Amino acid sequence: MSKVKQICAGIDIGSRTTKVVIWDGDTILGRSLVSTGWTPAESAKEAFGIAKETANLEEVDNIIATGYGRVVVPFADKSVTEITAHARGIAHQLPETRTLIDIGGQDSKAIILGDYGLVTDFAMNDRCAAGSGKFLEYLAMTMELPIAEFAELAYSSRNPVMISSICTVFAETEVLSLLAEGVSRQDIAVGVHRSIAMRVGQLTNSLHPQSPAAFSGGVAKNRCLVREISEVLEMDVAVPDEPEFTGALGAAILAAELQ
Amino acid sequence: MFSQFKDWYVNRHDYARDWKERTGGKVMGCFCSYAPEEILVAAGWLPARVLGAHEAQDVAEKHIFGMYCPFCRDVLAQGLKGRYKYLSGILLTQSCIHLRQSYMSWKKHVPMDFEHYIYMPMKVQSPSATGYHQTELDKFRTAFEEYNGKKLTDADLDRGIAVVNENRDLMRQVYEYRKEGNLKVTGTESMYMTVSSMWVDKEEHSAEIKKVLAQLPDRDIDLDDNARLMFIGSENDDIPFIEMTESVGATVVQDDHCTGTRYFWNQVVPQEDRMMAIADRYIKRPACPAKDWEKRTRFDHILALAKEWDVQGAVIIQQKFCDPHETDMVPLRAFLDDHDIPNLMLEFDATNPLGPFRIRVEAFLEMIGSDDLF
Repeated sequence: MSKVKQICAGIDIGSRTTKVVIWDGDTILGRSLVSTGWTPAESAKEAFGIAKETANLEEVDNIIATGYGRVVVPFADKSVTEITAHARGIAHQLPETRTLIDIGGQDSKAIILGDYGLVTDFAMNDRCAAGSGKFLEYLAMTMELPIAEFAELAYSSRNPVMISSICTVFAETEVLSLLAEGVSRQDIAVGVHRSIAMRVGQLTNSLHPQSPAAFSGGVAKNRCLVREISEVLEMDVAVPDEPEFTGALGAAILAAELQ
Repeated sequence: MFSQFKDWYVNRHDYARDWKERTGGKVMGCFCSYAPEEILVAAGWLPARVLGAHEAQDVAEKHIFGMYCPFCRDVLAQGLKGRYKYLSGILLTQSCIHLRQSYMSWKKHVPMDFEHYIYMPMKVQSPSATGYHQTELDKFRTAFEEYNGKKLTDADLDRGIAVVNENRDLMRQVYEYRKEGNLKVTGTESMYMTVSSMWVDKEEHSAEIKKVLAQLPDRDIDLDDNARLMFIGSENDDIPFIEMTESVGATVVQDDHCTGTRYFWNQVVPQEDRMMAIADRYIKRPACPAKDWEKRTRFDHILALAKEWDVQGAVIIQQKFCDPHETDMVPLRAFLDDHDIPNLMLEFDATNPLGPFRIRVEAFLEMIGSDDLF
């Protein structure tokens, strides 16, 4: 008799977006992504509802929440940290990964993986926005560009200007000074990306990073940042398909495995 | 069971003021856990460790540079804000330049009736250290006796040694109830006990521990499934942090803190020369990294504690800008790694963001408990 498949969900409530993946043990049946806004519990409910609709499901068997809002999801059976969730997700998406970088809206993480996505060590940025998606967003705003255009502008330059300040607010002042000096926007833009890559590099190299490396989280869609991090770490950095769902997928897989 | 210790911790200033009123004694503000409490107790004084308040303050920065550790700035702020007006004296035993700055600034801006700086040797491993320290303690004793207008007798010192030793011994007995298979005390409870011992009258504190020890054998608290953690660092009385840690599936079972085991772990071994005996105890106690030269003896000490208390992981609580502990950070973490003790380093300020720290602690617990998770 064949085993009845359990339907599980992973809900990743990040500071910027909430992601849901519905998983049957082999396949992603549905998923969703909504803006988190200021009520993470409501966002989780909304995203879960959309994901169930896309999967054409009324119920799921087991739910694991992750991300900074993981503790406010009343219908979750369990929660795990995003470090464990991303590690498990990347172990499914890119199984050979030994070093994982995850940059979120408010923080960045370097994770060292053993077999099966087991976390053997990790480091997170300290209590400031340097090295986070927020840093990037804030400086794109300073240059009056949407984040995607800012990233592409940066990608067009291989001449990063040095951004010395690690404080987001002071970095903005520095960028404004560079603009006033007539430094090109693309060199400043790539400099901002290099600055984040350097912070992530410090974080990662404080551990014992090994190849192959991967990059998950929504910020991984920024190909300039992928290039800059790869150069700083002096190793190829792979990006899975739909990296913004890695954490939710990992949570869903864990929900299936932990039953 | 531990509520009295919590009450003493929360209402420390009320306790000290009340103690003065009911005993007529005097209170000495001690700036470091190296203060020779036996001599203070022998003279009938109450030793009271000066700690910070873990709240934002805006008074210390004009006297002490912002890159001195948050603890020493928090300590100075307490003096500047008048929270320790009941003190009759302050006492610094040299440990680090950060706390020395707090003492010097306090002395200048919040003058006391009695002030003394004991030049304790930094290289406690030197064969000359105990003799040198005895000389410094003798100078303190002389100044203290002059201030008090009364000489200390051998009988006074014997009583001081006995009272402080008993308190140390009792706290070690409580720590036995944090061992594997005999876990009956949480880290939070233990922290209330050890930290409050730094300003509560030792005999009163010891009497309370005896009551607890009488009840502990029959205590049944279900902590066996929790991860067993050790805290390592300098001063740490961050109650919200240890409560948060113990609310997410861990129990803190051992520590290496100057507000924990380093403060009370070893005893004065009696000898004919009482001052030499006291000096020897402070020279030989588990070392603060500021004094642990040239061999880092604390590493083996930490490992021994971790093994005996079956520690599964260590959280290193690093006061931001604390140079002595930062010196140890890289080799200590490598040492723990080499001995298969997973470790997490967190940088602490006077006030700390519990949310981001919770993610790190939970991820750490998931990492060390991954056999159960997967």
